[in-house]
Amino acid sequence: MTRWQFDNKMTQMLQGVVGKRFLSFERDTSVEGQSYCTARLNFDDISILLKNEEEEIATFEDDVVPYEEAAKFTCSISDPNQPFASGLDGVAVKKHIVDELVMSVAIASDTIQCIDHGVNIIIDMALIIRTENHTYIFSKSHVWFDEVISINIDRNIDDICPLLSDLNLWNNDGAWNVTVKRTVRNL
Amino acid sequence: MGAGNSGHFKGTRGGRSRVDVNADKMSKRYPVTQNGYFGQLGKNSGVRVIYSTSPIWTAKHFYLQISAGGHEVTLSNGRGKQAIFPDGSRVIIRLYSKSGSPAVEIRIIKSGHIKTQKIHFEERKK
Repeated sequence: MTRWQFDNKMTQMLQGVVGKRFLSFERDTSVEGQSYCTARLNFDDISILLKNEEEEIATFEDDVVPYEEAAKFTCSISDPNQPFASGLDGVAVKKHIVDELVMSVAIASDTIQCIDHGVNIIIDMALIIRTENHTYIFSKSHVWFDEVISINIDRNIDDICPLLSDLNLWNNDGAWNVTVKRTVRNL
Repeated sequence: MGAGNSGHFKGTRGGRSRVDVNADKMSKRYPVTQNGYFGQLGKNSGVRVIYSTSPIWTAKHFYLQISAGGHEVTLSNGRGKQAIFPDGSRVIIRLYSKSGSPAVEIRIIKSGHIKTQKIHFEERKK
């Protein structure tokens, strides 16, 4: 099974913000409710750069192109004293003030399978931060090359990214029978 | 927060997406299948291939036409360019993808004829 997921170190980093104060998040202003490729989450003693960026993935192979690039969630520590760098040149960034205590952090993952055609993958689809007052969801779509991070507040992940949405890239435009299961696990 | 879009766009008539309109104009040189895909089927689901003698030129030419009317921005770190349309659809060109071939990604938000797809531009073997 292929995994496009946060690794253990990243998961521990995200788990570590429980009990901290979620001060703000930063995104680019290209499209409301989204940030292209990168967003920054600022807590009282740590800033985390969240990325949904294409990287070389060995899952897809064909005779001409040995590797495909697909967008995968990662996160890393960021220096809050440095300006947040947008994934798009020349596009302004915006800081949204939150200032709420983090009660829990969860990751929503989708298992997409079509075993007969070599599709057997788990993808981390969303980072869900529940604070004392709201739920902040940073999510991606089923489009495997899409680097957009959708940012929603107090919505359900199943409404933001319906289970059967955008599957034409996985099911060969409806020719294959692909199953999708979603799990949401608290860190 | 919610869904919305920025300015700088040219509209279309009849409610058709700008990508669909552009695809119609390009159809002689870059035909579209009945299911809304360009080029030939790649080995992987959702991947298409357009062959030519000059893949980089073809990719640039294709992108120029399919992205008409969108608001163009450059991806950071020289990774490519992106055109954003009023409905949030995006077209992205990566001339120097890690896999070696130039690629154009079409991400459709509003359902129309053209489907979300990734197109690799490969050299036509003689």
